[in-house]
Parts: sequence; structure tokens; C-alpha cells
Amino acid sequence: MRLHIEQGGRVRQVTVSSGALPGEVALHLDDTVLVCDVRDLGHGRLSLRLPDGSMRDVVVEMDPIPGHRTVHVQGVRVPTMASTRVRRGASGVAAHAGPLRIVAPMPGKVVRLPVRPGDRVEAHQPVVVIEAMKMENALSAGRAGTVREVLVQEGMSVEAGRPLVVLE
Amino acid sequence: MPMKTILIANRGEIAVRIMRACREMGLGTVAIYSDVDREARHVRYADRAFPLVGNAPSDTYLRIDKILDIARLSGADAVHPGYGFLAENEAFAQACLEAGLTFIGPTPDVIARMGSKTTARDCAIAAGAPVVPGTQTPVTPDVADAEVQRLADAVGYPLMVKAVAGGGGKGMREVREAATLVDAVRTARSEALGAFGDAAVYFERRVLRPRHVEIQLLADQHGTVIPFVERECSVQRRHQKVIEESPAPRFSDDLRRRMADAAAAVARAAGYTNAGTIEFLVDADDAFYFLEMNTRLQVEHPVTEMVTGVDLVQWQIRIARGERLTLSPEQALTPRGHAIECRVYAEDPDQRFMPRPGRITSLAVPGGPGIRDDSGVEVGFEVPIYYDSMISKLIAWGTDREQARCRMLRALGEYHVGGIPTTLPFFRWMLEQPAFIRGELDTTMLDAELERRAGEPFVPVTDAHLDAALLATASSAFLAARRATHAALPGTAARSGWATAARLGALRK
Repeated sequence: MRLHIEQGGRVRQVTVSSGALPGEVALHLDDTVLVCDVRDLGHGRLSLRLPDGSMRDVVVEMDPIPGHRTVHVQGVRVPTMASTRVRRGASGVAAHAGPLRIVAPMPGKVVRLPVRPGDRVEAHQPVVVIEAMKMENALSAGRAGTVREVLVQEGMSVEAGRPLVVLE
Repeated sequence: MPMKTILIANRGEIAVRIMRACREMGLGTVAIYSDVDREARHVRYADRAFPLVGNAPSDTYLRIDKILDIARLSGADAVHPGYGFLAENEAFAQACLEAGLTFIGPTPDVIARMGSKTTARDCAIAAGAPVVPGTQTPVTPDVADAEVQRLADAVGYPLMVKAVAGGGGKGMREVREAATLVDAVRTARSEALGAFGDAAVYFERRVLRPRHVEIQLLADQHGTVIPFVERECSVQRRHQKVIEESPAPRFSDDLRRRMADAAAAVARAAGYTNAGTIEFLVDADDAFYFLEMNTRLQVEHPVTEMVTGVDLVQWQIRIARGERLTLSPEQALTPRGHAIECRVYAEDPDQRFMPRPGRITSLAVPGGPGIRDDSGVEVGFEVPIYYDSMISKLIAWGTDREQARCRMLRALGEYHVGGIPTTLPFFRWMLEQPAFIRGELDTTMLDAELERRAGEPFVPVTDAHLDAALLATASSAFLAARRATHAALPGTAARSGWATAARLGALRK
């Protein structure tokens, strides 16, 4: 099985096949073959034993978008994207050009909208303030840009994932 | 009338904590719950549970009428308020008493007296406890400059000029030296007049880089007050405690005894009963000042339990049923080892600690020597948006502070919460900070450090993490594809686990 795996901003090609012993998975990566002992403990939990004997307990969460996963390894969350085909352009992880949609990371209420369409915003400047869990949370633009659209109004309740502001 | 069943007027980890004490004491438990909390741990843990209907705190856990109806319906004879919600609400305590229920806490009049900053301060002064030096009466606009100067000199510098009617930083000015006083007072008066319609101000000595140290105490209904070894709660983010420990590092036995005596004197003067905590500010010269009293069980009570071996919740119940405190005052004041607590929140520390409610998809809770996890959640539970986002308190005990710290780090590494981000990575960073390791703490240090590092990730992603994630992703995709193939082939999907085990066993021979 040939996979293109994107993580940390780069894409790598991996060929995966069964190893000789039960549990063994052979991973062909660049010019090397890594034979790992992989045990599926259910509910996304995997126990990996690397060729040098290193143990890695990981939890693989399937994200709602097909192919996207979040891998928990030693307390760190690494978003990854696996596909059997080469994708044109980058996925959501690395896109920099084009419009940027700022979405609600949680359900809550819009309490302030400090920007209007046409406003120029700097990276990390707050563009919308949402109240959730009795706290006000300022959502900021990940990069500089111009506000193209404001899709919500103050006082509106929003569900998680709802687009709030579009930058270009 | 013997106490048989306790209604726990709270939710989350503290409700579970209180029910555990009830179960150990053979008492029945009644939970209350909002709509989104039906599947919560505290509800399923209880003997019986009753809906409050609704979700907002004002419709549910703050509704005195609904809670008393449930108490009546369930036949509960006592109410434990936990912390937060109605825990320091004298009207609730009063309503419980009028409904014939035992309220597990102090009397309503004491809650009212110690709940007000000014009457609590008066009570502390009357008991001889040190308070932050300041003017006793308001400095009204008719007080002349020379008199203003004399009053301020008596308080000492640096000092804060604050509006009597104030709040939110308005009408507040810092004065570092006598020369700038008159101008600062003029500005503060005009700001205060504009904001609150009252130009009166007062002066209070500014305690620079203070530590927050507090004394837990228990008081029975027969006049016995027992203060406990102090807790240090100086690691704060925006005035919210995030790490607490006991005993305080760099704290002498003499200071401990003086602070405990002061706390006990305040509690006696207030006519206090049940569990309470008196908070103090400690300056760089180890002078301490009364800050306020919390008339309830504190979030951080487990660190005291770990170093004294006293179950504070069980004692709250015993005191409420009229028992006498039989604890040894010496045991309460002498720490055995050291304990540290981390408050685990459903917040993303790498996104400025933004709350991130959501479903917990996987969970591994640490254990082993010296570890206690007071959690309110389980796998499958959706952390609701309506309430505080704390999901658990992780407590580590060691024979000394360094062992407790290393155990905490080890336990943080074992702790896994899937589905939502938590503050666990922040604690792994915090416990490695040189100032924390040395025990040099004050309430301003964390905010200053967070400001300085501006969004740097708390646990940086290394190549080793990326390599493991790559292998895990490839393996996960491969195993999923293989499962799909197997399921499609007749006969293979139903392969018995026993047969697989037998084959694996044969391979090992």
C-alpha cells in the first residue's frame, strides 16, 4: 500500500506491507525499510515497537475530514493527512494563499466584532470575540489581510465550526 | 436526627469527591443535574439523581427553589454545596435551614459577614490579624493636600490610590514616591468621580511581587478551631490559581505558626464553624497580611489532605452532625512530606488558554506511588460549554518537594486526554521552570513569563514525535485497509479470538 503522508508542513511517501511475524508492519520510507511491531489495542490506541526496540504508545484520532488524523505521541498532538493519491496543492494544514476563514472553535455567543469589511488586520489581531464557558475568547487572524466578509452579528449564538469572518 | 442522605448541590469533580466521602461513611447520595450533565460522572456515581431542567447555571445549579424541591422529593436530610455555585450564598444556607435541612458549612450570618470584603477586613483587624496597611477612613475631596500627604506618608510607599466606590482598575493609581502623590490623587479623584460619581479615594500599601499563602481550618460547633499547615497558591494565571502546594516552599516553622494563629483568631472572632480558608499575602520580607476568607471547601483541599492524612470532607460532614473535632492540632500543623496539585482544564494552552469544550474520545489516567486524580470526567463525556472548564485535579505526593515534583512530571507524562486539548502540556513546561524548581514563587511571575514567551508551544514538537506520528499514521491507514479487506472476505471476519490466541501461543514455543 502506497501512501502520501503530510505532517509538519511536508509530504512523505511511505509504502506499507505486512511483515514476516504477526503484528509486524514493514514501512518503506525513502531508501530504508523499517520493520515495526504494531499492536492495535482498539479505540485508536496503537503500541509501536521501533526497530531499535524503542516503545511508542500512541493514540490515533480520526478527524471528521477523511484521511485526516491527530496522532497523540508522548503528550504532543501531531495533525497528519494520509492519502493513497498525490493531492494537487497542499491540504488545509499548509495553505497560505487565498481567502482565510476564521471559524468558531467552540459553540458560544458572539460578543464583539471589532472589524468591518474592508478593514486591514495584522497577524494576531483579534477579529471576533466569542463568549463560551463564561470566558471571553478573542479569535485572531492567523496572518495579515483584509476583511472580506463578516458573516455573523453581535449577540448571535454560533455552533462550533461556523465561519465567522473571511479574510483575503 | 441522624444524617442519612446528602444532596450534593454541585457538579463535576467536586461532586464526585463529596460522594466518595459519603459512600465511605455509609451515607446515601443525591445528585442534581442539568440537561447536558445527564451522562456526567457525578450523576452516574450517585445513588439517585434528579434533573434540574435547563443548562445555564442560572436555570440549574444556581436555582435554590429547584434544589430544595429535589431535597424534599428525595428525602435528603443534608446539603453539601461544594465550591462555586451556591457555596458562599447565605440565602441558600438560610433556605436550607428553613427547609429543615442541615447545611454542611458555616451559618448564614457568618457567610454574609466574611463574604463582604469590608466587614471581613474589620473582623480581621478586630482579631489582631495584620491587614495590608492603608487609610482607615475615606480620603474625601475636601481633605487638603498637606493632610493627604501626611496620610500617605503614614501608609508608606509604594502605595495604591484606589476609589472607594471603585472596581475594574478605574480611579486606581500607583504612587512610588511622595513627590508624585498629590498629582496621582487628583487624577484618581477625577476618574473616580467620572466613573462612579464619588471622588472619595483611599490609600493601600502596594505589596510588590506578593506570594499567596492560605490557611485551611476546621471549626466545630463546640468552639474548637484547628488551623492546618499552609498552602502556597502563588502560581496564578490572571488571578486564577493553577498550581497549589503544601507546605509552602521557603517557609519557616515560626512563620507557619504565626500565620496559623492569626487565621485561627480570625475564625474565632467570626464565630466560624465547618471548613474554611483564610488567604494571606506574603511580601518579600515574609510579612503577611489578611486578604480574605473563603467560607467553603477549596478546590485545592487535597494537598492539605495528602500532607496531613486528614479527610477534610468527612470532617465537614462530622462537624455538621455536631461531632467534636478530635484531631491533634500538632498533626494538622505538621506536614508529612510535600504535595502539589495541577488543575487540568479543557483549554488549549497553545492558543492563549482558550476553553475547548468537546467530547473526550480517549482517556488514560495516571496512577502509581503518590498520585491522586480527582476527576469529574470519563471517556465519552462531552465537556459542556456552560460551566467552568476544569476536568480534573492531579495531585502528587512525595517525601519532599523535589520528589513530589518529579512524581508529578512522571504522572503528567502518563496522562492522556483525547478529543480535546487540555492544559497538561502547560504543566509539563511549568514544572521544569527554574524558578518553580527553586520554589521562588509570586503571583505575578506566571503572567509575566507567559507575556514574554508569547505563544511559543509548551511542549515543542521534535523529530522523534514527527517520526512516531508518521509511522503511526502509516500503520493506522494500513491496518484499517487490511480490516476492510478481511471484513469483505467470507469466513475471515468471524475468526475466533481463541484461535488467534492459540496460533500466537504456538509461535512463542
